[in-house]
Amino acid sequence: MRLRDESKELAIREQAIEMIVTEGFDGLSMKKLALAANVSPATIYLYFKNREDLLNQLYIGIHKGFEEETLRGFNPDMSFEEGLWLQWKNRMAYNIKYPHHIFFMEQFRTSPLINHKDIKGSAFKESMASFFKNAVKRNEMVELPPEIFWAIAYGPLYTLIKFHFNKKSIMGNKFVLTEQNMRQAFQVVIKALKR
Amino acid sequence: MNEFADVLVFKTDIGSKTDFETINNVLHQERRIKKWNIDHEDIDHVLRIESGEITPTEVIQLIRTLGYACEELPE
Repeated sequence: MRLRDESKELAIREQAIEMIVTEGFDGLSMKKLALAANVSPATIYLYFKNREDLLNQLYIGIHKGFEEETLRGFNPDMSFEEGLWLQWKNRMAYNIKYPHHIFFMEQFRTSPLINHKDIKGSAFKESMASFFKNAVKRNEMVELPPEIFWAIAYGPLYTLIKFHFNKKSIMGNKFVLTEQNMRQAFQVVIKALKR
Repeated sequence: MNEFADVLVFKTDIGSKTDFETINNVLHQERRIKKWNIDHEDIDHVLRIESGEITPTEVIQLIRTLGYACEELPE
């Protein structure tokens, strides 16, 4: 009788993410993965129906983790400035802790897999939508098309995170992301978005 | 649930769409099989079966009778 082994499942998931980050989706085969995770191919098929199922489950698992971390201490009724700053801090922390997870999510999102029926909408989206609606209602925030808004509200943060991982900026200078310089960028962003 | 009592995995040579149809017609009728799928992307054309009651030997016999190779994927 084959038993469910959480540590094996975790090893498979983590190895899969590593392989995808270094070799892309095409680099991932069930056989290679079994070797890397130190399990037999049969074991992988116990947890995942096939490669597509594995990728979908990985995305769902990672996204869930991302949502939990990003919403830590967050309340849709927070003031616009307070809420957005918390989002910045939480997202920065998550990115620093799990850089491969973020990379995976980005790859997955731009692939045709994202339209799979197992990927559903979430409470996270609702929480964020609620937060912004409240901010607009209280006249704390300028109203902008969502894509423009997102580019201004989060674009600078993700740019700085990229510089941090490259260890240097686009100008070639050494760069480390700290709460201090993050705050500096945030001040400009909040000025632009606040009413 | 802590066990995989009902998941069986096999290595087969069920490669083409026609092969799949043949297998489908038979497995579809086997009431003991709850769900099944074949991973066509895998070189072993892995057949994965969810069933509480059918045994690996029975599956192997079934698939081989249809003219296909079938053996349990080693643990």
